[in-house]
Amino acid sequence: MINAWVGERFALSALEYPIPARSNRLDFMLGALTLVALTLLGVTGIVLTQFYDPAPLSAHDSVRYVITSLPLVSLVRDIHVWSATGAIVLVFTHLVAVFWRRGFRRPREGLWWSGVLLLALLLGLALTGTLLKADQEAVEALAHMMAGAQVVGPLGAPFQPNFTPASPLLTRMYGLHVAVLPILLVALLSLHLWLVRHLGVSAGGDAQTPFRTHLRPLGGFALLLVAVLAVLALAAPAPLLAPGVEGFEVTKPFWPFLWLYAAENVFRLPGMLLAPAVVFGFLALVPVTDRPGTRLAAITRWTGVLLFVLMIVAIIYAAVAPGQAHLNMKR
Amino acid sequence: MNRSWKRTRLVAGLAIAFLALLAPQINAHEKGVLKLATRQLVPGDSVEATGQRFSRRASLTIELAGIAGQTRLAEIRTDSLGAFRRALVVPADLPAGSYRVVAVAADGDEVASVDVSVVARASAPLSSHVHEENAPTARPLDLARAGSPLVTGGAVVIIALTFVTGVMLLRRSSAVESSPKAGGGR
Repeated sequence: MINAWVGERFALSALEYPIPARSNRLDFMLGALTLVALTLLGVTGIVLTQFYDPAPLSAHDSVRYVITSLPLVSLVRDIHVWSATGAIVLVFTHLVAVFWRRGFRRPREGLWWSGVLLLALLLGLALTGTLLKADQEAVEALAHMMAGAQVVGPLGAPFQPNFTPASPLLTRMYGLHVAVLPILLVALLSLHLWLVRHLGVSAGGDAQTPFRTHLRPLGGFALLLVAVLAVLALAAPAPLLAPGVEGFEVTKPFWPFLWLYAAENVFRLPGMLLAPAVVFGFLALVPVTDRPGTRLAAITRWTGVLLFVLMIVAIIYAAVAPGQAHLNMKR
Repeated sequence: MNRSWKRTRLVAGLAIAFLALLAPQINAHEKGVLKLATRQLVPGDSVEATGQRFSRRASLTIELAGIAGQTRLAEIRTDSLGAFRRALVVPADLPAGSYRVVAVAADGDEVASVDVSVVARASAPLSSHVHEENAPTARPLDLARAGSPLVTGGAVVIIALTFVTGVMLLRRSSAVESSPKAGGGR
């Protein structure tokens, strides 16, 4: 009776539309679980903005204050950092699964492209988030970002300290992290979800089931994800390095950027810029080059596999190789 | 129309008279001017502070206000012209960051302030002048993390409940899937 009352008033019958039965498997829920991690990032991020000071001289101190004086906010910060890792792992796994299933084929190209842009935005959020700590890792990441921005000319001007004398670069990166990038993310997510609703949760699949049945396993996996991220936050709190010193490179970047670090080890600054251009260029071209039933489709698939393996190898190499200084910095 | 206009004028006149009576109460203190010899303070060092245009022969407390709260620096008394000059000692254990040096009147009202930065002597942030003893390192800071049994215990309980609820939802969904009624067109 209560179900009927609530259902009538909140139009829950709209959840009865059919979806392929296989959508209830975990490998078809990676996108929705990414959304759960993003929601967690949003909620914990809002809490953290209440305690963070984006002025360059006090940013590090405000993070340190949270860690040493506010146990609950410190836990929220740790959950935020682990949720970032969770979101990147999930979105990347989702991308690989969709690529392998060729879920980008007509008419789902828009879904693929919006997903690739979401991955780029997520990496942008991870980079700007790293900068906010104002520790040694942040200062080095900032130096790399400025060097990259210098190469792309006027387009990179907003990422230079002298873009505006009124506001420090760190404060502007904070603005990007908490306002500009999240707004873009929500807009793109809306488009992505709209396309999922109208093009289907997954391509193909004969047996049909109501979408409503998808919510229970999704809710179960979502709760397990939250529990796992919270356990990780309790067991391995996010570290903070000493306040950053410019002109030195002694750290390695946040793990999602280790493949760029590896590319920079081998090819210097051009490597750091070319590696993402190659990966994102390939991802953008996938729906165009993949012609069903042609040799090009097989070439596209195996090029993707090769790039994926190369990225994993590069991340492992960068994690274990001795640190290097780039951009004429000292060690 | 005429009566309404008269009433409006009367109300406006009373409001202005009320505000005029209240004004001296609102501005009970003369707002002074506080100046420091430098805006970049180093813990343990002293800095000369001068003040003018404060109330004459008034007691003021000079505080350093930061994210973690206020630190009292000095108690001073202005001269017959409402001015003062005094060396302030920056506490040696003050963490680096942005602060405000604030002059507070005897009744707790803030009468002047100046923004300052406190720069740690041993680890001047974003500085290219680095000595051997504070060379940058990839090693995380060994911070005394704030701990609370309430927060940790509460988190553990919530995590356990979240985990159990998640498992129950998954078990129920697999039970529903395996029942003959489930799944529209299967």
